[in-house]
Amino acid sequence: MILSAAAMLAFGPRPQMNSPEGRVRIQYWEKWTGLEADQMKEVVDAFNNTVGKDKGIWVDFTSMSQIDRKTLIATAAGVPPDVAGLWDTQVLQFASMNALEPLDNYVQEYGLTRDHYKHVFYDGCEYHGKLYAIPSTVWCIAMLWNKEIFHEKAAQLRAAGLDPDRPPQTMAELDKYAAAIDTWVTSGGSKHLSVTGCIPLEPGTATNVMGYWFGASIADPTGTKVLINSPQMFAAYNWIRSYSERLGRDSLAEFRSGFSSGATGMFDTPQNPFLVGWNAMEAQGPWISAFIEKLKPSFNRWHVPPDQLQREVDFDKIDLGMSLNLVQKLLGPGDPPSGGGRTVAPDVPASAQMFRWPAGVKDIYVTFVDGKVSDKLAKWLPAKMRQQYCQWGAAAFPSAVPGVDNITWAGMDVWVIPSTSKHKKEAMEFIAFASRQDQIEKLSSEHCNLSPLAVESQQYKDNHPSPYVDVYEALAASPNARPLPRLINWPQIYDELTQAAERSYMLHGTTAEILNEEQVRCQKELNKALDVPENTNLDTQESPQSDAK
Amino acid sequence: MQSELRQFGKGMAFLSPWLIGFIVFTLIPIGLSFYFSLCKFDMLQPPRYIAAHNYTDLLHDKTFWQATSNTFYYTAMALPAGLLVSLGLAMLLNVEIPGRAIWRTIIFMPSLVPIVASAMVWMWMLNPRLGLFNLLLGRLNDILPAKLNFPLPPWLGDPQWAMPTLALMSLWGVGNAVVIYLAGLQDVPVELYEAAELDGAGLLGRMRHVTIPMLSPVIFFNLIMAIIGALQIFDIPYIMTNGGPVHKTYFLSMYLYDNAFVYLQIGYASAMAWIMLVIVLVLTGVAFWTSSRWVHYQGK
Repeated sequence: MILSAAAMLAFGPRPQMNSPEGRVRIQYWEKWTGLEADQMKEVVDAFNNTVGKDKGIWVDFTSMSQIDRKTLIATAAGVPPDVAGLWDTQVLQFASMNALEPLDNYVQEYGLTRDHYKHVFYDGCEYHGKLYAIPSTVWCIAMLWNKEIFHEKAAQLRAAGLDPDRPPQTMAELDKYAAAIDTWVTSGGSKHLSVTGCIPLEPGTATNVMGYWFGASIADPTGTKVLINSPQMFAAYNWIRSYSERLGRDSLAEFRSGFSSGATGMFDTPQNPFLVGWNAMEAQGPWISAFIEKLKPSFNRWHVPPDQLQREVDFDKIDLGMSLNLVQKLLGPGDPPSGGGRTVAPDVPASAQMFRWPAGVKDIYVTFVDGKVSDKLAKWLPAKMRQQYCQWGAAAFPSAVPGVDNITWAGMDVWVIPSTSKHKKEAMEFIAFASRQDQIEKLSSEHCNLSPLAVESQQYKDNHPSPYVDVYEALAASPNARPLPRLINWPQIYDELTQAAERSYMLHGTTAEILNEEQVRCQKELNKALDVPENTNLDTQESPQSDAK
Repeated sequence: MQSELRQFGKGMAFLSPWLIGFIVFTLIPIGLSFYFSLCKFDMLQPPRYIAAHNYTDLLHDKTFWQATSNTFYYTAMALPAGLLVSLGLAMLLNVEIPGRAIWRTIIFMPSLVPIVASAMVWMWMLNPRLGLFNLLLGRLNDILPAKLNFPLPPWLGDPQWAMPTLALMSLWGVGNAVVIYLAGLQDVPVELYEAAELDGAGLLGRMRHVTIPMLSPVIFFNLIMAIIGALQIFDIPYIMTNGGPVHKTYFLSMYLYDNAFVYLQIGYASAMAWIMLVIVLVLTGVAFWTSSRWVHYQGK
């Protein structure tokens, strides 16, 4: 083993030393892989070619899995990256272990203040009044609803006194909509669910913070006390339970076990129950738009006239050099030429003519020079205009608290500087560049997430891949947007709450039994993490709740 | 004396690459893990000695007991099933039948499939609504009278079914054990069968009095390997169920992993690892202790 290791060190691969001489080289580790990593790499390249060049900094970008563990181990070993792209889940956990550098002294110079960001994201990066991370791409949770199912069930919804042309606005209304939509079929002599209005655990993205919509706080603001058996949490878990009681635990389990999301955790699949039309409403983040376009593009092209749909398909058949006649044969006459070429092509001569063809959710632009195709572009309609063609809608997930609307959980990816980094100032220079409005909006759009900034540009809002970016951005900016609970052992509490939700859904114990048990267990774990001696009375127990309503 | 010392030195010099590797990468980590099990340690702060606190905490940890009981439950199902099926398959494949090499290859082939790939395929096959198993059962039910209809289980989606399903799935990878049994079967002297036949032993008699005793060292080896393998099961449930539903497939190794690498409680996880080691040692010890009664080595 030692000989092999020595041989590898002697003759093995070397890092590519392609940075220009004289620049400070910083290491940037990122969790994004595949296309998302490529998109981040573009930001890194832009930095290296501009600000990095001016200020003598070179960023080495490495995309990797399990970045949280690797960053922690590297930090402990004293050889950390200078910038790491983590999840919000780790911010408090790592900050409490002194693994992260406080950024307060660095950010002022770049204007990265609390007001520069939507407050929920900035606040989520703070621990004990210090800033330990900078939000990168962010998200929040809204309710998706399947408009087609609502139309198919219009009679039942109207009979229940509900409007099939809009989503529910309160939790009570959501339950009524769901009950009216639930559909059963009989096969093999028994009844089976074929469509559900809503399943609280589906797809599971926000299950652990479902209490937010019931006015619950999972922990107190100091992060020393968990509030898992509060009356609000009790209401949230009773809500989860009520669906299993109404639909039947076994029927629901049988129905749900056919999904490829939920328990098995994946929604990037054609069997996604919302996309297939098995489940009419669910809590989801903005990224779902990217999956819809990939897995079920027809969902974004509802009621688009067939000739326009065909045009979108025919766009691929247009080749450079094709004559105007041929293109018109393919796409129809098109809008009269507006003259000039695409503004992005400065070398197009003045004699060029640009034709436009509406193609449903896109507009097709073809530029002709001397009657031949010289350029073509299929451009999305502005996001808000695309909404009319969506077979699905997005709205605030209904609140169970009267008078408190636009509740959401706002989550994020973050950039941090490990405490043992040797190039903190240079690392901050890069983070500040990546946080610039043009860069962060580009990256957020490409990742189909949201911008963390307080103000978004019109271009970003128009060109974002999610037709409902306005809904999500408004929710993230809402005063009722909440970050993760301020707990240094959130990953552990997260798992405990997952269990509690699953037990409620499976009717394994009463809600009081489940939550009282979790309260004791989670508080004990939190005390352990906070190093609170066992015999210290912190008044950390909520009064146990009972199941009596 | 001097030449003996020189010889010893030479021996150690040749041994040193392995010895240093063993000390640095195995012995010291084992020792450190025991020390960490007596500490509160999160990797970044220095370990703080807390005596046996982690061990006493484990005794009161409900999830630990559930994970331990799940591990034993799985072992109790997968271990005998695996031993019997692999032994049975090896005996069948040892018979002179047409295309024997092809059958052997087919049986061994699943062992070559990467675990993640086979887990994904099994997840599809076990999908209650779209999977192959329930599709076939459904077709069978169509032709059977209603009274004889099979239930269509939710497989991994149901707390009662999930664990037996994983145990059933573990049979997919018996190919390795089958190959070892086959090698053992080749070693059974033909004279013993002939002698048994002359003594009037039938097929079952030959199996009971010749095959099984002669194969017992191999069975013993496979048993020990299976005990260790079953108690350390991690990858398949991690991919297929992530411990659910309601922690019914949450194993000791998964809880250990979560504590070490997700909750960053290295001390607590180390204590768990030592308990796991003790369990493995006790079970293998029992197997060794009983082996003198049922394992027969040739030449003894």
